[in-house]
Amino acid sequence: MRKTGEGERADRIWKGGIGVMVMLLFMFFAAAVWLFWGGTDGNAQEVFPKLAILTLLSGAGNLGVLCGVYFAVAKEVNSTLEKLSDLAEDLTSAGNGKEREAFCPQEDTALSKLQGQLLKLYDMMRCYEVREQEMRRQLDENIGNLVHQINTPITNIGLYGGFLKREDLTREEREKFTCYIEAQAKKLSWLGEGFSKISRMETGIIRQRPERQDLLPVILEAVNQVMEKAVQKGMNIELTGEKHTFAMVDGKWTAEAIFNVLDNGVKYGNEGSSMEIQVTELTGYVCVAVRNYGIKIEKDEYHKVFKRFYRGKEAGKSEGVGLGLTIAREVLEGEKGYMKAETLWDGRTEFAMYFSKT
Amino acid sequence: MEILAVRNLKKYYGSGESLIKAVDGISFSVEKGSFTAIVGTSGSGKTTLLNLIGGLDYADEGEVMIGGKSVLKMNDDERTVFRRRNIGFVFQNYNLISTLNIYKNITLPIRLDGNKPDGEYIRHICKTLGIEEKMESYPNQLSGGQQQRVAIARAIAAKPAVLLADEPTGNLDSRTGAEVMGLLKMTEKEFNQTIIMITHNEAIAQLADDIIHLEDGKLV
Repeated sequence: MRKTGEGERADRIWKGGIGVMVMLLFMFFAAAVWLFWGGTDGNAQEVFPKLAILTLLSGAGNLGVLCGVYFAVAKEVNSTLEKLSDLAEDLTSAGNGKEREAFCPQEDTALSKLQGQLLKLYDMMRCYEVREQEMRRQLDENIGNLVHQINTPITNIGLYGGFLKREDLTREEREKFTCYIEAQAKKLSWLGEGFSKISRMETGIIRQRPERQDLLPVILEAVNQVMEKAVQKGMNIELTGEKHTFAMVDGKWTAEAIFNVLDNGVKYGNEGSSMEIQVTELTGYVCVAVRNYGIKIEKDEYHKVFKRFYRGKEAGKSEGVGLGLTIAREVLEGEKGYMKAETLWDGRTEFAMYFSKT
Repeated sequence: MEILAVRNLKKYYGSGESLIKAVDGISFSVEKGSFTAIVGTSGSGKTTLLNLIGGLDYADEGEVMIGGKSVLKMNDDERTVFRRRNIGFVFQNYNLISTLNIYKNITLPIRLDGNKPDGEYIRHICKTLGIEEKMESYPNQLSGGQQQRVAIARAIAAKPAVLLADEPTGNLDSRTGAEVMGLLKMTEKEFNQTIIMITHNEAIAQLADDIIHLEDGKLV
């Protein structure tokens, strides 16, 4: 069904009004002519009063029509403005994606053009809104990630600081803990440096600079960081498979990623169990698989464990906020690698990290 | 941006007692550049669904839109050209042409369309898949795993709008499977390649951005 354009309707009323007025004028002239030359014998005294009445009638008629047209047009204009304001109100109160066309969009009238422009403006604004929401979400993500990154070294410093208070420490142990604290402080300062860069990143949380390097030192650095915690839980860490493998990775972030996976394994692993880190060289990737016995991951949880703030069904009791694995995955994907979680046939939980060689 | 939309898709086989609702009123959409996994057990209708999306089979009802064009409404000739330009297939059973060498197999869809293959890109794919030294070989000289890698290289080489993969790692050992998944993920990231993969394996499906579960021809 075709909507009649508001402009068109007002136009029609206006034209109709003029038509009626012209008709009235024509009838007046016809009557005047008839009065002069027609039915009477040219008796002026009879003609003039009649002519006067005719003139008055015609004038009143025209005036009436004019008033009628005026009010009709005014009403039409008002209702059009009403519709326009309704349209604008719909758009402003929208957010629920409700869009309405008050005027026929296919019509080539000023109103439908205005409507088109309004809708276009609205679309643009909505685009900005979506983009802004996305940016806000990313900012939120960045802050979450950074807080987490800062938390880990601070927790470690607290832990080693606690060890240092013990009086039964040997000189070597004391030195070792001091070194750890130093390393963690370095990590913090590096994070501080990185903060300004990260906050400027619009997409992605981390932008790494992958270089071809030996993975072993990177793995050992991560192992080093998690060792104390593992020892506390009576766990031992076993490195198997190939020793020196080269991949394109960013050392710092990769150590962070591996640490997060190891830390996760320690947190959710069984006390006194053994954790295996197996390094396997594939054609295009180096696979670093971390396996241990602990809380099992169900099949439908495989992809969820990497989601931001996701805590496993049985992870409730352990510390952590559910960001470590998300960061690890982001790091690997930033290096053209990937990672996955799986429960193995022997019941061990495996996190496999694939680092790209090219 | 939505690149694929499936609306109320239906495909039934047989009738009466033996009526099988292979695909039973499925609707979903896929964003450009995303990696979607369709997970289901065997017999859940996932292969039928993929064939309908790729225009390899006729639907009883519903619509498949790829890049705003309705695949099911095209005639056979139009569909063939559309498929060649817009859809890359990876089948479980390779489907290589035994009389062509590996390089010719990989570049066949590109040459069929009258284009010159991007040599460097193809070399890059083949290197990542570990088949760069097999260019002169023929399919029957390769192992099953290598043949599947060639099939994947062929699907990716033409840079299709949508890559449809039917159990791409189904016939590969876990090591090779891991490489292949890495390559799929890489094409998604690097070339903004939209990928739809069907699998029964949750461990593989987790690499996708979105996971769709299929059961008895319906989404669950």
